[in-house]
Amino acid sequence: MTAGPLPGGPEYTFASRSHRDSPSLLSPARARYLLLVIVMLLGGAYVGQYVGNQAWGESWMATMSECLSGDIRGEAGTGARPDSATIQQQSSEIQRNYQRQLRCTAFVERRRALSSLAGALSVLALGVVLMLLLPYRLTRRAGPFQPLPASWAARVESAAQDMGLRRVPEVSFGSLRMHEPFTAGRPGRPRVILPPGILALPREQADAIIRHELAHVRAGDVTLVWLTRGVWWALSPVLLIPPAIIFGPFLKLFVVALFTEAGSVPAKLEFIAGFVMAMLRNPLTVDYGSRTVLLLALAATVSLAVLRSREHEADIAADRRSSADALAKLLRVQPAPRRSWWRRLTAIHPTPARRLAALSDQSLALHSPAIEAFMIALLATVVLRDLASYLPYGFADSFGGPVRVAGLVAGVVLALGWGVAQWRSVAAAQIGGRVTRTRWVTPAICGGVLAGQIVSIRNTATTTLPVFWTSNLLMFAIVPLAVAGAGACSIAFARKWNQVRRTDRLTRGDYLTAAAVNVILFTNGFWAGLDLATHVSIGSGQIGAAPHWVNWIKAYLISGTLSNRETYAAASFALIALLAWWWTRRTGAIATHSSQVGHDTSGFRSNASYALSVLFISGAAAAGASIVRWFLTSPVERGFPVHTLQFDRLVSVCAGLACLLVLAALEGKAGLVSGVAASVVATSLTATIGWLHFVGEYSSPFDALRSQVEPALGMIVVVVLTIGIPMTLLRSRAPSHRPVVRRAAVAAAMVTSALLGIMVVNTGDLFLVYL
Amino acid sequence: MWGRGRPNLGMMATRLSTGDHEGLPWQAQVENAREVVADLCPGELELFDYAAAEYHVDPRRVLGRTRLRAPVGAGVDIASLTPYVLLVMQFLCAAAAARVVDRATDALLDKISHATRVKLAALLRRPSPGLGSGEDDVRSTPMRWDAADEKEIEALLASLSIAIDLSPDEAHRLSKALLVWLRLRAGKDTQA
Repeated sequence: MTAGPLPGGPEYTFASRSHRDSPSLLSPARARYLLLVIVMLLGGAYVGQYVGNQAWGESWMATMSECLSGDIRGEAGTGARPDSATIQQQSSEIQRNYQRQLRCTAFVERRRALSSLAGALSVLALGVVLMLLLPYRLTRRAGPFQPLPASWAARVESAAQDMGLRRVPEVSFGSLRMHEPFTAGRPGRPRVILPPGILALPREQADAIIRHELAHVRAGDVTLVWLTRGVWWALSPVLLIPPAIIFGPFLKLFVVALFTEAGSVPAKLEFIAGFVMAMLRNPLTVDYGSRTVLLLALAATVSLAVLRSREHEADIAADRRSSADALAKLLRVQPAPRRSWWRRLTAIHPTPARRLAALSDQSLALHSPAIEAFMIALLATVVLRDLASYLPYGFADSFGGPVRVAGLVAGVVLALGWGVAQWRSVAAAQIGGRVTRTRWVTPAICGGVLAGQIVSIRNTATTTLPVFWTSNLLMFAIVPLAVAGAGACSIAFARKWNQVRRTDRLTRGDYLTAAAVNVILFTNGFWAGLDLATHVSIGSGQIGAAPHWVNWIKAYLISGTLSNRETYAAASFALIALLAWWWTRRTGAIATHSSQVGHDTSGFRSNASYALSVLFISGAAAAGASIVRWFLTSPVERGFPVHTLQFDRLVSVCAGLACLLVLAALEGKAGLVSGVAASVVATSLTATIGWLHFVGEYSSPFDALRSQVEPALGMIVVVVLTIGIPMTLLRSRAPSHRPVVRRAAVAAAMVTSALLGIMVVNTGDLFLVYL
Repeated sequence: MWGRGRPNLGMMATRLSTGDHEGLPWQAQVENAREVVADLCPGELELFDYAAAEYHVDPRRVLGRTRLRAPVGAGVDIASLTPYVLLVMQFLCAAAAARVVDRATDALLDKISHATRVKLAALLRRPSPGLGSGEDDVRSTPMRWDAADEKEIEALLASLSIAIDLSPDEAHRLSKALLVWLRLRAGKDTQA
């Protein structure tokens, strides 16, 4: 804390805590604006593709039909268990066919993707123009401007330095008609306009206002807000293009008929009404129109909600660097608006009462309610679905294709737009001495993802409500459940992270940690959900296949072990497992709420001791599974090394699952984080022991180790996401430190792991999967 | 008192602005307003001349009810009091001159008695039509500015404040500052 005279006056002091110490550092605002812009650009991409379809739709359909004809697998499977040679042959044939399809469809797919890109870029270009014009118009209306007197310029400069701004923005006084200060301007050239009334305010209050505006400048709000607005306004007319294409010719005929044919006024009115009704009765109008209105309304609502949250963040930033209570004093004299629900929904700023409450308790302002989770999850899922469909067939093939890219983008925007906010909410609640309520968050994410799968404009005429109700609802529920599982894990990790933070400050490192963990969780959530839904769909569609439940089991296993994303899943989960171990070592465990809030770990005996006991649980589970696998062989694997490999992986997963179950029984939902750490260790250890069993037989031992460990860890990711939701229903418990309980937990892990292993090995080919 | 709906402040200010020849010259009104602003919100003196010029050019724009709705702002209402002081000063000049403005404004002006109006005109150094034979008579008339006059003016200002949508706190401060200013003027005049 430094205090001292400033050029503006000797009595004035600044509270100069570092700008890095604010919980608002973890602001999700930028990511949310980015998400909104992406969603709206995807709306433009739809229009682009629609226009492209008018020109090249028929040639695209003909080419795709020709290129994709025939089974990509080549010869149809016989249903018998294939041997290694057959599998290898089929695999190379699939690859060959796939490459042929890519070459064959490349031109039309590229053209389709380019038309989407053109639509998105058109909206973006128009949006950028509006981004420049709208603030220009606003600024002009706020004039004529008067330059700042010298004393004020010095104060602004000091405040800018204090707020961590490298360059002092232009500040001037606006017209007498201005009642509220605001910030506008071109990107990189923000301009703060102050109303002349600020001259009458006490000095500390005027400085608090200046700091509030500078906080907006520092957060980069000006460009993002106007870009979002510009794109919104640009998208609105662009979305009228498809109906104009559909109804344009009819409208022309209608207008000609209206003005050329004779008839009385009532008859003409009836004619107009009939035409309007005919348009409205068209299912496409209703479907497309409702989706369009919903998209624009959602974008506007979320944008306004982000604006309001940014006001709280700017208030907090200004308040920290101003004289005591200056902003609060100003807010207290503001008139309380009597707002209807509509006014509240469309308000740019929170009410003074709410801002005052947030200033006195920052956890209120930084709380992330369940409705946010719903909205952000919905928009992220729209990004997932739309992006996956606009990218051309075979795009980023080495990474896993359009679906994988779209899953990554959706995971990133959900992680940065919601996950980071949730972590900040947990931290702010602790700083404010509160408990974060997260009961409705997981259902909200689930609902948001479910809604996102349906409401996108891209789904016009394909995923209508009748189609939704007559479809297999499970198909629509898989992705939401997987992402909600990731959300449950995120909350558990946030609580653990919050326990190990030693200070009341949030740093850049905290932001990076929160962002990295959430990106890993949500990306894996989207990927796993999409893979599972795809494989369930393929399994259900096979004629004469096994019963549904068998197909689902196999689809579940394929999505975990053979979905071509195990390397990313394994590496990323290993990373967060390491973090989980680090946190487990640093603190006892997530215990009761009282201990969460107050960092009170005095009741725990020893952190290292707790971490050691979790390590023992992992080792015991690995030992139990390895012993079973070492001595037990399934009759169906004899002569089929590929089946031996699959059983090895499955037993490794059993070890990880056993850890999760035991820690869930021991700690309730608080055991999820240590469960992730333990399960990754147990699974890797068991897979490595399995590899050691046959190490002499491999021509390439390192590749063999990878083929053992990666799919097993990939499966553990799916298992963690699956049991994440049910684990949130359990009560959080402090782990017992009685030696007998710890020993019992270790024994339980070994027995559970062994039992699960025995069960898997003795189920014949139920758990064996083939692509 | 203002009829249906809210009064159009800008329109009222425009009407008050027309007809300088009947009341106090604009520059004199500005100087009077400057004295009130110096007491009421001395900080605003820094931009007072700009503010007065802007008000004089287009009072409708300055006092119009259309607000700028900027998305990135502080969200606090920090209206300048200078245009309101100028408006009230114009209003008092109109009251002293008994000038017809519009029905709504005239209804307010009727609140003060003839005697008070005479005194007010003297205070504002503006001869009122129909009062004596000429300006010298008015100036030489011995003047008393007592509590009853202040009460009338206070009631007038209170009504005006409601009409121009000032907050109770601002209205009270403005009314108080104006009364103090008038009292000082009366003291000066008496001494003269």
